[in-house]
Amino acid sequence: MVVSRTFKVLIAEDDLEDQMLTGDAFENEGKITIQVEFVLDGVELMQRLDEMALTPVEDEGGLPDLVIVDLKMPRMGGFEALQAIKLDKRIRMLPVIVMSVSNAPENIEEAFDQGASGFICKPVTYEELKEKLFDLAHYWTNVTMLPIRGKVAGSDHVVESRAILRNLARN
Amino acid sequence: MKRIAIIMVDDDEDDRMLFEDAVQASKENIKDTQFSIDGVDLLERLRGEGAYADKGDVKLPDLIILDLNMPRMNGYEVLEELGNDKLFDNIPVVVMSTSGAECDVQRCYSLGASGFIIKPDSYEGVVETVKSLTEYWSTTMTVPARTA
Repeated sequence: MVVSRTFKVLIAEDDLEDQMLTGDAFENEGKITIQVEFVLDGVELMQRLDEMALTPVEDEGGLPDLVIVDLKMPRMGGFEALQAIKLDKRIRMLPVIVMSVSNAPENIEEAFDQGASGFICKPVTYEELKEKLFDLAHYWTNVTMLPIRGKVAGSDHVVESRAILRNLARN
Repeated sequence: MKRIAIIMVDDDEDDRMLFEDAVQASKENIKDTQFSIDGVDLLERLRGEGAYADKGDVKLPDLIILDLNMPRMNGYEVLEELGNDKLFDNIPVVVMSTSGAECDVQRCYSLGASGFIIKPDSYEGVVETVKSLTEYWSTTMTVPARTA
């Protein structure tokens, strides 16, 4: 039996409108259950990750599958948060995607250089943002393996249907 | 959208050939594909050393697709080398492996990997994976700009 599970995304974003759009876009992904949680800046992000690292998975705690950080945030920005994550042995395996309205080359280079697993240039329109986040969710749920607990349901279903086909062929 | 240049690193010749075929089906995402036979070969290629010393300017890729188990320098060592080199630490690397043991996956992400893919066991699977992968890296992600 396939136990489907939720894909958890933790997003550090100080702009409330962007939070709403991002949350919306992810919820509309549809095929799999995506749980989105927001924090307002790098300081809150590190606090939340610390709590999650200490909470057992069975207690609905546990670490997220993907972290998205906005580049510009008050108190602690995206690069600082990225650095802090990559220096912390308990959470350094979390894939971190940096998001920014700017596509300044030095920022993109810096992000990958600091260990980010991706850089998204925030599109201007909601439709484009939705498409990017849909593709992002698709990649992390269907194409690549996740560091925590492997894969989410989307891909397991494929495996399950293959197994069924094989059984049918045998009978 | 921007077509990307990739380097695939794999010591298995069959896997490289399969991949090369699959690349043909994703031409709209890929502008150039190079192959390295192992980690040592990759680093020489990137640094313009060894067999690549007289081959002119080095073209850095937009994405590296990296096998884990290789005789001369394995995938982990390659990730470490690249991460410690100022010239190469901003190249996204996606690991491709036959096994997805949780500890392997975690180790790769800790070393800065941008993805971890299980090698599909069919030709159709490889085509599909290469398509998804290159579409994501050419369209959804923004990667560092490369000259040439």
